[in-house]
Amino acid sequence: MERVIGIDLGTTNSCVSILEGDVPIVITNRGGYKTTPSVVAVTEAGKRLVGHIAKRQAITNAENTVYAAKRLIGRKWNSPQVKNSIMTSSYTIVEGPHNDVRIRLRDKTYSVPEVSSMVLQEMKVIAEDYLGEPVKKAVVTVPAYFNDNQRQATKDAGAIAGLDVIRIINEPTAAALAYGFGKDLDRTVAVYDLGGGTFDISILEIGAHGVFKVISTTGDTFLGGEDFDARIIDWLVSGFQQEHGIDLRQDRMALQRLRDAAEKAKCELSATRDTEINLPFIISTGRNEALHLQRALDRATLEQLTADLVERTVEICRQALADARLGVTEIEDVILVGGMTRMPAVQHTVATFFKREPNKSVHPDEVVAIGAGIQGAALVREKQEMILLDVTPHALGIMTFGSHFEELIPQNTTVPTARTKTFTTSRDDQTAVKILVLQGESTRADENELLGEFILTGLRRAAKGQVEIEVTFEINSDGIVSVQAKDLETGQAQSIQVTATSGLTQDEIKNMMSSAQDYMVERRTDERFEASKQEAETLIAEIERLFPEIERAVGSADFGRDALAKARSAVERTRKAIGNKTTDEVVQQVEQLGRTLRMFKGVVTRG
Amino acid sequence: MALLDKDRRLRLADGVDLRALPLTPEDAFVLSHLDGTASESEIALATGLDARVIRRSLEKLNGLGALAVSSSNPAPRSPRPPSSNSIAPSGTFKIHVGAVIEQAATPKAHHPAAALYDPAELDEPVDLDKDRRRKVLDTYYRLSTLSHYELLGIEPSADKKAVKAAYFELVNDFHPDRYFGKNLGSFKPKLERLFARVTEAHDVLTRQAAREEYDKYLSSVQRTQALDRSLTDANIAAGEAERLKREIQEQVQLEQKARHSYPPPAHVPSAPPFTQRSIATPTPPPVSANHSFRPADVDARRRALARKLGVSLPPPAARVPSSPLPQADFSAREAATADLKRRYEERVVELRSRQVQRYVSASEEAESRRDFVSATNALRIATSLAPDDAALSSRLRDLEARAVAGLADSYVEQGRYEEREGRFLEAAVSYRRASRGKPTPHVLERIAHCLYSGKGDLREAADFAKRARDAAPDDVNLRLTLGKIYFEAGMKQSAAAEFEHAQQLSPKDDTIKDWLRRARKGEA
Repeated sequence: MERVIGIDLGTTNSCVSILEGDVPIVITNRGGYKTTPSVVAVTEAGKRLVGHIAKRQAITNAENTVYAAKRLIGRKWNSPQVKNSIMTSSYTIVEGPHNDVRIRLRDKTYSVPEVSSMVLQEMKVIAEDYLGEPVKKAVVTVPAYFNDNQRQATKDAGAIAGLDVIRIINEPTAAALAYGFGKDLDRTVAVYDLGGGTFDISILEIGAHGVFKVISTTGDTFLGGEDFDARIIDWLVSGFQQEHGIDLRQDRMALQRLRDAAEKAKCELSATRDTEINLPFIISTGRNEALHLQRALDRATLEQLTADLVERTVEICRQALADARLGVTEIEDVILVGGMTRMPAVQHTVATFFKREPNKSVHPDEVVAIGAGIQGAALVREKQEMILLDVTPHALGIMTFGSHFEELIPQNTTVPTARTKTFTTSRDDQTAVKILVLQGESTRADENELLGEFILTGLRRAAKGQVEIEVTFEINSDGIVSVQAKDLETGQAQSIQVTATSGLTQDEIKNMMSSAQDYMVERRTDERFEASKQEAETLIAEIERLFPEIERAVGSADFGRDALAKARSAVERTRKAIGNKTTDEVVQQVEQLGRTLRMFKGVVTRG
Repeated sequence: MALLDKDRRLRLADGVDLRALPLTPEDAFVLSHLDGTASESEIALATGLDARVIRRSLEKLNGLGALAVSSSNPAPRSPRPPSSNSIAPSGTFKIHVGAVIEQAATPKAHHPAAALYDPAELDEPVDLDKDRRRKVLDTYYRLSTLSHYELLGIEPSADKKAVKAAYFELVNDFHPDRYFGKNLGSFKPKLERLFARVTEAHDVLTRQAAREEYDKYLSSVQRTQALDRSLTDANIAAGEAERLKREIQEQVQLEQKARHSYPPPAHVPSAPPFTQRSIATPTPPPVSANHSFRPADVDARRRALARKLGVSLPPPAARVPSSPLPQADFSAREAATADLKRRYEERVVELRSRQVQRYVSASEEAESRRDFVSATNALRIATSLAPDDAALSSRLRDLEARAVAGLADSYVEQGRYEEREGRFLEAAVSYRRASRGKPTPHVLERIAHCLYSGKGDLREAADFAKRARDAAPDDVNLRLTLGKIYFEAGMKQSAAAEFEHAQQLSPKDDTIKDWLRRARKGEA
């Protein structure tokens, strides 16, 4: 039987594991470590370095050392996340030929999957050293919130590394597998996974027959340990700027040193209350003298610097529970995954939110790889001990008339699944229809991820709305999305299997995937304000039109003047609320104005 | 088929795993009424199903080996020692399985779901054993007829835990990962489809709100179907009435014969109600059956059946009063014959009116439970037994009218559910059924709307919308719906006319303005 390894391809560290009989083994690398930094470098001599050795030389070779490539994988060149990475990376990011991202190392550019494949290859070698035989198959994990392009790019990376990635599974799901494997549990658990670059939360149900069913999963692909480091770096840089008037960010080597020091300080503060960051000769003043950076950092300050980041994870947890339709008390255990969960403030926040002490029985750095190894074995072994029911983390649909996104498969649908909807033509005598396959949560097509497109031709000529096209979306058990469009009249059908991220770049719709939900919230607020504003203005106009008449009607009666004064001040308050763009206030005032108007109308008709 | 011979009371065979059988909801419904004592007509009455449907189900179940003969089979009817209570007009029915048997085709003992798919599909060379292939195909081809409960193989009362347990069990059969890397051929998409459907069932049944909605929908569908059938097929009741009449005559004949050939029994052993059959069978129950019925057993079963019957029949009237029998007087033969005839007729009338009374009170009782299927059926039988009773007939008509109205309400509910689920054409069918009992403008409008939304027949949609509009000409919504349908059908001018009228009724409505603009643009 062929062995299948499990690889946790992390943002900062990677880990490889295999199931030996019923025992999951985390394989140590040549240096004796169980995790390997996801760092790739090319030396002056053109030699490729991966792992600890690459990390160690990063300071002296910052421009040719790639870390956190995972943050770029499967992303489009013009995505805000890539723009952000360009600003903060010490290596050079350039545009690729398909609106993709390339990394320049020495005189060569590499695609992101290529860089990731170097890490995967290293993990493969570590496993082969341990097993003493070649390894060809792997299960690789990705953040649950990765979209299909990112998953495909990860699969491609595996292929480049010579690995047949038989399954991509989600990191929190893998963690749950490792947690529940062979234990015959029956409970609902939450996996809180705060890693180097991404945050995921998944709610799972572990039931009889070794079934692991994901109920909901959500996350943020740009929230992780690196963001905590960045806060420390910002703090150090701005302090240095105040003291010396020099921006350390302009110096790539200084930036790399700051990065290492920040990470080290952050880790230390998980165990101690104070630490000192000491970086002598951090930069030259240009007058032949060097400046030193030395600052003390305590846990309280770190917590203060990163409080909003931790708070963001709580918001996402709340969302995951809502998606699962579960209350916090229905979660029977909380599993912490990822190095960042060692931070006391994170543990405390999780415990407070879930109203229970998180489970610490799993190793936060190794549990994901272990789960991948378990899933790999479960798939190929004759006797299956477990089955994983995962969900699609993003909605899938097509673009309809007016650049509207029409959802076919909702978020958190258990896969494999298939859904069908019937659409009609939008123009008279339309003979062809272009099907744009999209993924995301926005109602606007251009804010979602484009997965693929194809054209259904040969429609019969008819008035718009007369030709019916049946669109079927299918996600099979291997996670492959296929889409079929069929003219119901003629039976003419076209379909695609949505796969690679390259080759789908024609008429590319911009990718704003991971922040789509933020946009949504923002836009929803805007929409609500606009609606209430319009209503308020209509009411005000109506009321003001009636003022003279009311004045006549009430004459000099006290109560009437009172009512008039009240109405005037309500109108005033509303105008102010509109000016301040305070939506809730406007909504409230609309009710008040409505009552006033009804009263006025009553007076007018009676009078 | 010996099993299905006359006068056999059937029950579920031992050790049969019902979930493994390819049953339709109707089969299961019939099966649930087989308690070893019920007759086909009783089942028909209790289920509201057509006798032919029941017959078909029984044959199918028999073909599957799911049936066994109840060990308390009545002995051949004659000859037997007379007993005044042998065929008392009690709540029991004679089993007349044979009533429809004669015309029934010989049951085919082949694979049950075979008709649903080409058996060649079983032979596809894939890495699945035959049993599994069969299970996959049997389930796959019945997906559209299975309720979520039937699919998961659970009782409608199953709690969340039981739903999950059943789901996890099925996941192990149907999740394609079970067979990862194996050659599944055309079975792979089928497994995926099965898995998706099983998951849907789980998701609906484990979410309280979704399940409540689904349950309501399901029970409404079942109730209305049964009621619909019973309203449209009066044969069941008529057949039952005929049979009762015949039985009463036979009984009286038997009674009279008994009085002439035997001395009256000195003492009639008092028997609990519902146990006539076991008493009428003096021979000990067959040893072979591991289900030998003790009277108490039978009694319990009868009571259970009576409950299930819906028409919980009142206990039988006191046994036939043993009127003093005349001593045989051979000298007054003529007088005796006349007397006999008079007695015969009186007895028939007496028994018949007793049966009528029973069914009338059963009907009232069912009506008080708002169980219109049973109430209508029972009253129909009563009416057939007493066709000259005008009061009864008018009551029946009244009841039927109310049943149709109640049915309409249920169909409206179903339509709403289907509409919410986006199943517009199904909703249109439900609303259309509702319109039979309740042709209100609202229901008509819903038919039109659903046909329109479900891309159904626009002409039909327009017809319903017109009827709705004509019934309530001042309702803006009805005009709007009709206008939209006209517009969709390309009749821009008619559409504009409707929108204009709607605008007059509701001048400020922007939607109407918008539609009107579109319709006028189409005109130009």
